[in-house]
Amino acid sequence: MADGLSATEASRPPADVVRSSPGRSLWRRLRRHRLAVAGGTITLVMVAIALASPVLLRADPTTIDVEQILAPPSADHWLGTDDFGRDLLSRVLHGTRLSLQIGFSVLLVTLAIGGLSGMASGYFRLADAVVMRIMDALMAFPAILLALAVMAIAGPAMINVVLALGIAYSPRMARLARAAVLTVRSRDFIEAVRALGARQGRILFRHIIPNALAPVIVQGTFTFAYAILGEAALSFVGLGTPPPAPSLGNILADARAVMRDAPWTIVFPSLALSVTILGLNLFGDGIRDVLDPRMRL
Amino acid sequence: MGQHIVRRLMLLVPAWFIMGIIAFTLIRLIPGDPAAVLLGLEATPDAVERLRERLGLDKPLVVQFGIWLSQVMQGELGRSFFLGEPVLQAIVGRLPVTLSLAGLALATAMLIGIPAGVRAATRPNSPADLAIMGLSVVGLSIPDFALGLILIFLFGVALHWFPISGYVALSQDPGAWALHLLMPAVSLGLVQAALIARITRSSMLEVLGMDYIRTARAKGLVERSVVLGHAFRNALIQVLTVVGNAAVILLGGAFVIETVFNLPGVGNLVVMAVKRRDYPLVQGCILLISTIVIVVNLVVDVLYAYVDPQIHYG
Repeated sequence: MADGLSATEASRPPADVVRSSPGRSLWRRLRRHRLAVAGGTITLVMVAIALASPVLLRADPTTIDVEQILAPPSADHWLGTDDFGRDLLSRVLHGTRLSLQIGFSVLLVTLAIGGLSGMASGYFRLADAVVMRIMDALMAFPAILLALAVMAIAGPAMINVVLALGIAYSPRMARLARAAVLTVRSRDFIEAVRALGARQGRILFRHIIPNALAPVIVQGTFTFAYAILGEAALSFVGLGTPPPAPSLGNILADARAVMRDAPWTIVFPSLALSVTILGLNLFGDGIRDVLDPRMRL
Repeated sequence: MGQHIVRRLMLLVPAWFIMGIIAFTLIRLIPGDPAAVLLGLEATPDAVERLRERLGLDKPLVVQFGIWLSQVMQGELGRSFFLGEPVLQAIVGRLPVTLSLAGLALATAMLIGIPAGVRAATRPNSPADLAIMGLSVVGLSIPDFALGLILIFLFGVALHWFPISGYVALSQDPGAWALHLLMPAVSLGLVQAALIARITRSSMLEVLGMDYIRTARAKGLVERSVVLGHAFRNALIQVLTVVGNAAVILLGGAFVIETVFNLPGVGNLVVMAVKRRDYPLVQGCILLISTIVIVVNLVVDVLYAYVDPQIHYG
């Protein structure tokens, strides 16, 4: 990437040139942040492995082999087998894929519910009174229990897990998005745009939201990680992704009963789960350092 | 002070009210007659009819909510289908387990997290700091139940140091109580310890950079009293916020660890209730846990005033 204005940048309207392409300078700073790079790499590797797993693996994660029950790691089964003789490597990889899929879907639901309602209540006073009262009340309740309550109504199914966790993580996202919009809307340049006669919609979508995205992106990365943990916890107690679909949580639930004879059944799924979360946490930390140094933990 | 507590309590009423609406709606959202749902499969048509009348199911929803709320206020949460005992009794009986677990987990989190954070902040970017912060990122990434399973395998199955499941009441045998709860509390508390360490470090660093700390050092105070007496007391406000959050998360997240270690607590009860679709029990647990959470938040709020004399209420 050469310095100076490229054709696309030069043709942008003046309001954006003030910050000289925030996207690109963010990318430059992010690349120099070692932890962010490490976290991003871990995350990308996990995503790549998860995406490639159906192609790479011969073993089906749900094929039962009664002659191979609880076989230790070997050349045939690199990570061993579980109590149904199913190949653990393929179960862990499919579980990781499912975790990432669910995590990402939850993130989208959280952005749709929490992000949008938060931004709306930061901008429209009427929405603020109603939305934030509800969000505050929900926030006083542990997110994972809220998800559990939703599961009680909805019943065990993967789509319900996504909705339940999405609802559970929305209040925090809403509060952050609202705070971000409130900060931006009180800045001088918004006043200037307004004085120039810009319409409401343009002010909101063209000026306020793009400038309020930083905390939302940071929170989004952590929501992704929380969602993966949340799904695993729900599935572990038997209230999440229903078997036989392998999720890292229900693999561990199966493993709990047989760990005395087959410790590998708890080690590898735990490792996959922890590494995935570690990648996202490091990336989230890095992106926060870069985007908003004041938000440092 | 007293005035402030009252005002905070008033603010908590809407929060509790909304949780009440959720708990109330829970039963109504399920297809079918709420009275039949509440009474379960074995209910006689006669009993269903009687409950219909008592709940006022023919009346408008708002009136129904009023009736339900007044019953809840009187501690009448209904009867569990499967346990055959009143919901309130079932929950209260299991509360000591969950409170012991959450209390010990919180103690673990604070005992590890606060000293680690202070230590890291006093020598920023030293090997000790990097090690503590590195460990805390790793700690944040290991799910509590995975940690619990690994602890069970290492110290329970392989080494036989600790029992791997069950609970003994504190009043019955304090030694056995601690022995049974140690591994669950550590698995639950370690993640929060990592979080507390990070917040403690960052708020300590902020305070240590202030002018009055330089003054304290300049007048010749020992480093120890600068750090603990001057800096830590002022960093405590932020630490307290995280500790309060941790308490809430520990109470809520306990259900997974209770499942891992077969602890007969409220978390285990909630999981069972949801699995068996024992709706009165689910409803009761939601109400009771949100009440506890609200009380914890209130306590943290009041503690602020004690920690920081600059905060005046009322």
